[in-house]
Amino acid sequence: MVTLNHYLLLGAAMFAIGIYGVLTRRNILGILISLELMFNAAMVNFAAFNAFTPDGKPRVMPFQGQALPELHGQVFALFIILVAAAEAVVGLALVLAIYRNLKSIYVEHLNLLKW
Amino acid sequence: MAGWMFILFALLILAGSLGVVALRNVMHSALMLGVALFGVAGVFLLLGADFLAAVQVVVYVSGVLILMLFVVMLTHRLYDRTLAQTNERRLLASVLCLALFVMLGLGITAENAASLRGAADRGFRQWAGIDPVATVGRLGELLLKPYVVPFEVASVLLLAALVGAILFTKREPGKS
Repeated sequence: MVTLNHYLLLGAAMFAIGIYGVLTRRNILGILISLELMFNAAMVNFAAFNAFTPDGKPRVMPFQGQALPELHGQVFALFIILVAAAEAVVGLALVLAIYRNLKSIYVEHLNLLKW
Repeated sequence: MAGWMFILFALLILAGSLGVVALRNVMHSALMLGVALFGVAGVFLLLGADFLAAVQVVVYVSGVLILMLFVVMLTHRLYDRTLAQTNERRLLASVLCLALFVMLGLGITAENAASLRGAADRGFRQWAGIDPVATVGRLGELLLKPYVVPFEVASVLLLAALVGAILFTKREPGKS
C-alpha cells in the first residue's frame, strides 16, 4: 500500500528533476518552469506530512460532523501556492523586461555584471 | 484502489516533469508542466486535501501556467526551435541530481523504515465506509485564527508582486 515514504520519494524525484532543469536550461523561461516543479515538490511533501501522523501511520480522517481535521500542513501548502504565484508574476515581468532590453532570454547573454 | 491511483498520478507527475526538462521547445515544456501540475492535484486528492487540489487547478494550471504560456509566446522567436536548449553542463548536472535523489531517498527510507514497518500494509485511508471530509471550513478557520498574521503578510506580498510586475514591465516615458 501507499505509505508516507512513497509520497516523499515522489516529492524528492520531482525536486531533483526540477534542480536538473534549473541547472541545465539556457532559457530563463525554462528555469522558471523548472522552479515551479520544485515548488510543487515541496507542496506534495507538506500535504503528505499532513496526511500521516508523526509516527508514520495514516491519519484517519474523521467522519463528517465529528471533530475537525488537523490541516496545518495544508495551510503551509496554500502559502507555498501563494508565494509561487507571486514569484511567477514578478519573474515573468522581469523576463519581459530583460527580453525588451537585451532581445534575448538566454542566460549566457545576461553578462552585464561580469567583466 | 488508492495504490493504483497513486501509481497513475506518480507516473503522470514523473512523465510531466521529465518532459519539462527534456523537451527542446519551451512551449512544449510549459504544456508538460501542466501535465505535472494536474498529477500533483491528483496526489492532493489522494491525500485528502480537496481544497488544495481545487486551488492547484485554479491557481496553478489556469493562472500561473497561462501566464507562462503568454510570456513564452511573447518572447518567442522563430529560430528558437533550432537552438540548443541546454548548456554543456548536462552530464554533471544529471550526476548531481541523481546523487541528490539517492541521498534524499536514503534519508527518507532510513528515517521512516522502523516506524513504517507496522503501518506498511495499511492504506493511508480507508476508502470504504468513510465519508470524504470537506477541509475548506477547517482551513478557513486556521487561516483566520492562528495564521492570521501570515495571511495578512501574504496579502501585502501579493500587492508587492502586483506593483513590481507593473513597475518592471512599464515602458519609461522617454523611450519608445
